[in-house]
Amino acid sequence: MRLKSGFVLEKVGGTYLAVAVGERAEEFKVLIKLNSTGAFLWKIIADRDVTEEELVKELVTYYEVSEDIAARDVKAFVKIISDGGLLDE
Amino acid sequence: MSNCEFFDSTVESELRESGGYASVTKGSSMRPLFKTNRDVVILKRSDTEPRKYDVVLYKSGEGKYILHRIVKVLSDEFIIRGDNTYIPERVAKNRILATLTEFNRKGKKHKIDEIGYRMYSRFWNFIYPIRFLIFKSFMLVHRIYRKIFKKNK
Repeated sequence: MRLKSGFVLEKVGGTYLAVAVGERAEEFKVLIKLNSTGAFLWKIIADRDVTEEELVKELVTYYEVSEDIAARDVKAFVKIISDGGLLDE
Repeated sequence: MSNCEFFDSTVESELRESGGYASVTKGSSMRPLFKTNRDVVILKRSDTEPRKYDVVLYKSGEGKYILHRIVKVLSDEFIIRGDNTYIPERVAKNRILATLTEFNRKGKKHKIDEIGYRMYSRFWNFIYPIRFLIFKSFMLVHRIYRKIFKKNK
């Protein structure tokens, strides 16, 4: 899976905000708010095509969390962005 | 044309909650700096009073969010104008919601303390009388043209 193109991720204070630009701005008029873990995953799927397992591995390596916790976080993240129509078909 | 529509109703609550806000730009009132859907602005609720040349967000009397530049500081209000508008707006200081701190223009990040940006904002304001004259002349030509065109019809 990969994130649709046309989003800009910005760090504003302690949170991350993703904003759609260009033609995508007409499609997504909402402000997407992410915490640091969400932003970490966002950057990966914006950059390349990855599987859920790969995202879990990245989280485990970077945040040094257990695979169970990482898998739960990734699942929740993927569901949100998938439900929001943010994934490239 | 104002560039208010891009700030939805969440802007004020978001500013209160996290102190910052990001949005894509809409409208032509801040051209040539910002173009519709191309650029992203990052706004922060500032504790200190904004200064001349700062780009600030305020809510107009009609309830629209406007992001324009301070061109003059008075004792209890600011004179604010869009980089591409010719009508000054008088705004009480306590109505300022946030200040532009960073922006992403044509995919490149900028901070407002960058020398290039500072030079642009001062230069653009400095040549305002010339821009105003060009704008007025253009409007005059346009009016004359329309009059002639209408007469010939």
